[in-house]
Amino acid sequence: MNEDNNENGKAMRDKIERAAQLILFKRHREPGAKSWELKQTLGKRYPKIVEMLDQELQKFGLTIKEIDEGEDKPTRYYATMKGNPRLSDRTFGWRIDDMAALTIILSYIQSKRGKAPVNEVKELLQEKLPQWRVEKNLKQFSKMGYISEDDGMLYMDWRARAEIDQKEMLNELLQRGPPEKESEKESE
Amino acid sequence: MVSAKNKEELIERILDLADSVNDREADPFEVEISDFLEKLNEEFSEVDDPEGLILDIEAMQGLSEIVSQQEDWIRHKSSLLHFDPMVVTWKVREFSKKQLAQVLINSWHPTSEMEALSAPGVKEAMEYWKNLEPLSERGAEIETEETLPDEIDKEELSEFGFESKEDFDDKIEEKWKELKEVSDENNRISYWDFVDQDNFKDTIENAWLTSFLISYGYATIELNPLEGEKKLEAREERETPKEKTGTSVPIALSYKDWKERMEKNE
Repeated sequence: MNEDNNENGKAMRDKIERAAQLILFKRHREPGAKSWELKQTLGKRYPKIVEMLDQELQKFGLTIKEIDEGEDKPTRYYATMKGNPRLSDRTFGWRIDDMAALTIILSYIQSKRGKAPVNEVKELLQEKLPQWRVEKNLKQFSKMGYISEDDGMLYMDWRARAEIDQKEMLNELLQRGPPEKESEKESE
Repeated sequence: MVSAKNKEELIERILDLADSVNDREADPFEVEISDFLEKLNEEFSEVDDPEGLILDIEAMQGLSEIVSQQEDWIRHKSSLLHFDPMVVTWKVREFSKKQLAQVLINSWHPTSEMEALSAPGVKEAMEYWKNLEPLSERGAEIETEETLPDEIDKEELSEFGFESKEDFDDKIEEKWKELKEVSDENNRISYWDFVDQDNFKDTIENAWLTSFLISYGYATIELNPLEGEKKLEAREERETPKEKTGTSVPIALSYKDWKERMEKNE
């Protein structure tokens, strides 16, 4: 009886390890694993295994996010940071200008119900950034999978869906006060 | 009796409106659907020729697309994710870059992306290592000549569309800024990551400008002969060529290689 339990426990442990390999390690350009990949490797009960892996990862500040990519596409599972990074001059090698640009792009696309004309986005970005940087940012974010462009329109892409809490972003934008008020708060 | 021209105008107007709504240029609720339906009814109720019916179908399709956008709009607004584009524009104008960055930080949950070598990858690396010629035998056939960088003349500048030396200097300074922006915390970036553009013509122009960044002392290039890798490093301050001399490095640019790199990055 005990031996059976031990064997079951070991088999479960092996499956959790395999799930971690599939979700945490990058293959080709995109991280994460598709639902059918997990099903193929872990069996029908893969959601349960993923849930157990999630509990383990949460101890280290990570969590597994399930992203629905649309009707005809498989669900994708990513391991993401449970909390938020800290702002510094080079958060993950990002410059503050780049982070500001991504906020502008994503919040504007969101306000336009998921797609926005690329020219309008460029005009808005140019209020804060030089033109060469605007072009560079759009290319860079597109390459990274945050946005995609089709027929003159910008859309949110897989990485924005996986990494950005859209509701949190809009709340932050709404609730945050103008610069003067913020600095007053800081000095108090 | 309504003329065929009026009918066409009405259809065009409906289809234009449907496009504007679809491209987020117009509010779907600004379109008076019932008015348009009435007009269509007036103009097409007695139509029985195939051409007229097709126009009627097109108009109805346009209107149904607008209704679909209205439904989408209501769903979006009820999902608590509604935020007027004007408010976003206003907030963006009002906020500092640091505040905008903070907005991202507070809603950002970056993905974990670990990289590992697979067994076939290790095998391939071993094969490569075994077949690699000794350093002393490599590159012996390439003749390089040590030259000091020279100033570019007006004739050469005009060939590339620059009207003056100032124009060209501005372009180089801009490229230097760009290199500093896209490089990592040590100001380094792979040569091809920096030079490659979406089309081959721009890649050549970029490689040409990058060569001046190096010759004029804005950046350095480091070659790793073992891995065949080239790295650019942006200098924080320009070092004029007189202060330091170096060796010319020939870098071949071929359409085939560029295409392969693009396909690999897709």
